[in-house]
Amino acid sequence: MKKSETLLIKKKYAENIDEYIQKGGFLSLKKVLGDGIPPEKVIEEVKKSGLRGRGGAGFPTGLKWSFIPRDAEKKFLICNADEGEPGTFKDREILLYAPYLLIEGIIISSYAIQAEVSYIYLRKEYKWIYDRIYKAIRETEEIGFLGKNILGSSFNHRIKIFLGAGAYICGEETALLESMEGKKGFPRLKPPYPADKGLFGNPTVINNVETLANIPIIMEMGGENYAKIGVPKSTGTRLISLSGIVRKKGVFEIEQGKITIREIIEDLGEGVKENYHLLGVIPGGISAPPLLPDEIDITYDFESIIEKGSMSGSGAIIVFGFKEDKKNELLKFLKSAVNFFKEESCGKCTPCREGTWAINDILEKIEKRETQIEEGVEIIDGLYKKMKGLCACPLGESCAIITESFLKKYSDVLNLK
Amino acid sequence: MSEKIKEKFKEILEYYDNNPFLSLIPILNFIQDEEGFISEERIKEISEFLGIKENLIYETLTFYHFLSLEKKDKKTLYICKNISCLLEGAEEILEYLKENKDKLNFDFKECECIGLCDFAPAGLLDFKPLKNLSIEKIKELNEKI
Ligand code: SF4
Ligand code: FES
Repeated sequence: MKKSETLLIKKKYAENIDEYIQKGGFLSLKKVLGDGIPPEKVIEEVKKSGLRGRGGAGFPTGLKWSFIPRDAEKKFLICNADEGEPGTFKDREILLYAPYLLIEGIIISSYAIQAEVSYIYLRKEYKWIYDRIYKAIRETEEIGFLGKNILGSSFNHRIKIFLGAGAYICGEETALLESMEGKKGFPRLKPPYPADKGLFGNPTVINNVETLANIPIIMEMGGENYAKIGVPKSTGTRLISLSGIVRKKGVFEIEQGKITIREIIEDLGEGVKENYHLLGVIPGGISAPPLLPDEIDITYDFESIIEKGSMSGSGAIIVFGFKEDKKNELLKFLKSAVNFFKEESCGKCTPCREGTWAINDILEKIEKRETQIEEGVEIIDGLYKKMKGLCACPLGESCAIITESFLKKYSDVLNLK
Repeated sequence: MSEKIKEKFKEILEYYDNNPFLSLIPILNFIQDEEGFISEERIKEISEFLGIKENLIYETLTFYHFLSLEKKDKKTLYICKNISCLLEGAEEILEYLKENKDKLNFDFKECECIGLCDFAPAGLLDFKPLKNLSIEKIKELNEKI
């Protein structure tokens, strides 16, 4: 496979349902429901594919599905379309340009866990895409691929859209569930996991948009063949949201483990903009620690980035840097990141609620030169230890980790003033 | 409650399989988008309609960025001030807005990433995307509103 940007998902972009069908759309659904492939076989196939969640945590999708108790009467599938990780906009592309692929993925996935109803939790910031998806669902209903006895099988399914109301934390799956239940988006303590007690206490699978969009492709080519794309622990392709100081921004599809971050910037992003000085790269949305320019000759996949002390998270690459004389804007930049966590901390856990404010204060003191960077790092490290594993979700920890990492890696730049 | 609103409430409740809790945020969203805020009166009506206690409705609605108890006369322009937008000059735009506050025909608010980082600096007006913002574009917008 080439390093081109039209690999699997982008091949299925379609304006309308006819175009999608022409491109081979719904063949997987026909195969699964028409040939009566049992749900367990679908799960098996997805397990074989090695597909890992594309929302941030990278959990194996097939395994997640297999946790759903077979005998439960009511089950739900939720498509998480609440990508709020700063720098991330790849699901937007699927929602806009490949809604049929997503819908097909939702139906097959729902069949695999035997859910009769699924919801697309769409972030309010994407309200302008609501009608697009609504229409795509209607079109699919009209040709009989949604509704009762789909393709002559005994499987019934309906998809509904649920619009959020603005809260980053609702991208966390249990906060999302709370939100759908009409409550504020406080993450739940786990266990129980959503697979046992999800929406209104029923077993629920929550999958990211891109994850679900991969399902028809896996069923089309077979799990084993899919697993041949990419590298063993990161199979398939990945949609990258590329933004920052590159010439060409946008969503690119890459084969995992086959292209380096530098190549993504140089070849797909057409390089750093003129007059700009590359300071670093955030490889997976703002919760991912930065990589220095000499650390980006690694391939883009889950493991390689973890090895470098960061993560591929939501697949958002933010390339940052400044014009030569403006390097000290870096602190402003870091402050905006910390401010994000402070604003979006839901407030449930004290170490995070208070800790994000404390980190913000430390940065202000560093800015005013009242605190040395080394001292700041130490304090933040102490805060981190009070958060790690003690909070209901990783938000607070992430804030501490990235701040520490920025302060350590860029102490020279931050001391410039 | 007007007939029109009541109809819409019923429609939403039905869409969400007559589950009042599932319908709460969609109904709040509807009122917010329709009226620009959520009044005490509406909260009472929603509470009665869905059978959810008022204090629970308050608790929910004060949590979310895009739900508000405050009546606003003007529309709100949301400007993203997160990382990718900062790199493309979101700050200058925000400064301009702050300086020219009195001349503006809309309110503005800073917000976090709205998923338009490839069109930075970006914003939302009436939940429609504003891409590649510039002071020029803000001026034009101000005249149109
Ligand atoms: S860690 Fe922070 S964001 Fe996560 S649940 Fe606790 S308070 Fe909320
Ligand atoms: S950072 Fe501004 S839209 Fe994403």
